[in-house]
Amino acid sequence: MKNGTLRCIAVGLAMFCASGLALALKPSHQKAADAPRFETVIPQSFGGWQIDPTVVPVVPSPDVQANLDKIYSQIVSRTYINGNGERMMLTVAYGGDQSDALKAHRQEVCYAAQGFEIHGLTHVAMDVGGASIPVTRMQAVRGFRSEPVTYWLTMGDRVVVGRLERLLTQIRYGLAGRIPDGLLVRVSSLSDDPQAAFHAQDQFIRDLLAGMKPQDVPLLIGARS
Amino acid sequence: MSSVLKSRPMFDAARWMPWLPLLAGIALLYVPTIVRLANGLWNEEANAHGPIILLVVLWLAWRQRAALARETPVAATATALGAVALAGGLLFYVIGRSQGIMLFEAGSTLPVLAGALLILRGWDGLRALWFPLLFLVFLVPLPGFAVDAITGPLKSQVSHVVEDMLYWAGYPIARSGVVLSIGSYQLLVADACSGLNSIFSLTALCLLYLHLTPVRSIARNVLLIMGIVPIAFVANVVRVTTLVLITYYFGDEAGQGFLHGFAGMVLFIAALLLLLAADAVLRRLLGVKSPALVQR
Repeated sequence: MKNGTLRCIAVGLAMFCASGLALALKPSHQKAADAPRFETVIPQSFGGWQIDPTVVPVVPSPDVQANLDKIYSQIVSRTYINGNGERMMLTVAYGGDQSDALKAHRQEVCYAAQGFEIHGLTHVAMDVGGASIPVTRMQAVRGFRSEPVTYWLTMGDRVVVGRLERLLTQIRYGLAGRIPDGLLVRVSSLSDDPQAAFHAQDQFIRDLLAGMKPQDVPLLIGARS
Repeated sequence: MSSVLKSRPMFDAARWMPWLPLLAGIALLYVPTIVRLANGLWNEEANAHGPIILLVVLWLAWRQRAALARETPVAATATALGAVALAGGLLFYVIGRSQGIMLFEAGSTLPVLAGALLILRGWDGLRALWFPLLFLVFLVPLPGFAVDAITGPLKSQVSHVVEDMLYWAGYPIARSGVVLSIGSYQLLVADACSGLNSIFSLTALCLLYLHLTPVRSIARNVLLIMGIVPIAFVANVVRVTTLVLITYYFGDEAGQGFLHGFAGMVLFIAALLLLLAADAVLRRLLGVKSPALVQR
């Protein structure tokens, strides 16, 4: 056979093998098959906080809701109030399949898309009694509304910060044949003083984790943070 | 039958036969990719240019079929480098395809096809097809981090300029972040209005234009490429302004309905005309001759 033909067959064969390998490595097992019910995992009251009955949750517009339904399979959205009348908004959104196009929202992008201006975006390690969570903080401002936000995202069994980390986690999971799930935990309050608000939010998160059943805590902050 | 007619058959099977394993390999790899793109990303506005890019790539490659058919001795370095590119590309393909990462899957076309070409036709083959290969870049959906990094600032700049212009023109307009209020209407400048999509497709269009109208003036080519972003920005300001005014005069429904698509068309035509005008001005200034579409 001619040299050129041989080369052609070799290249074609390599492509054939790659195609087969890709099919063989497709993950099928969804980690989230037995997803926890976050509505019950997150306590109604803890450490002096309870659900504020006067606040009716804001319902997102239909197009936003449709988009949320695509990404998340569970959304818990609550406003808590303590004895001093301070309010905290907590959102926990869970998605069973986070593999497709790295779905879960980064909140700075999400808020900005809804007309907020984002100030002071930082990534810090938050200390929660023994563990530390890499959280993202920012101040979202629209008109007279100033909303300091603290949030983090988990993927599979860990809190992930950057897109690269999420991508690598996704690949690590996928090559092991699993589809990672993901969680967004967001705490925010209305305040013109972001430093004081972040301080209060940290305390709120610590109270929340302390008020949960110990075996449920890793669901929120990842088993390996 | 006369021998004259026999001497140039329409389709010479014997000449195409050796290519069969390669064509089958490429089809096996990328037909599923194209199907997935057609069912997904290509339906979104941000990647709607995909099918056109694919056709352009195929057409550009077809123009070079003579170079592809010419058998040349392949240098050892070309073979080695080609094998490395092919192996690396296939690795990205395997990860991308199996884990559903389109960036890797579509992105692998470039090293895979360039590598195969190097192995089969050497440097001459790569020289003949460098442009269609490069053009494959536009087939890759922009990664999310790039979209986010560019979209936000671009959006707020566009909103800013539109507000200033219309305010100066005496319209009752105010802006808060990326929300524009005009009269009794409120408009949110959406991600799609940032002009990123148009920058992407306009860059593709501009490179194609430069490739098909080669002028031996590096200054003209470089300046024209540098002009892409400003041109896309201006065109996008035109688009958003058009939409704001349509809403102001004809109401919300007109702004969101048919006329929204119309404004997209205005954008594209405005960008194209600006590009051609910029080229004409540059050629006049630099004193280069008028280009003609070249057939190779």
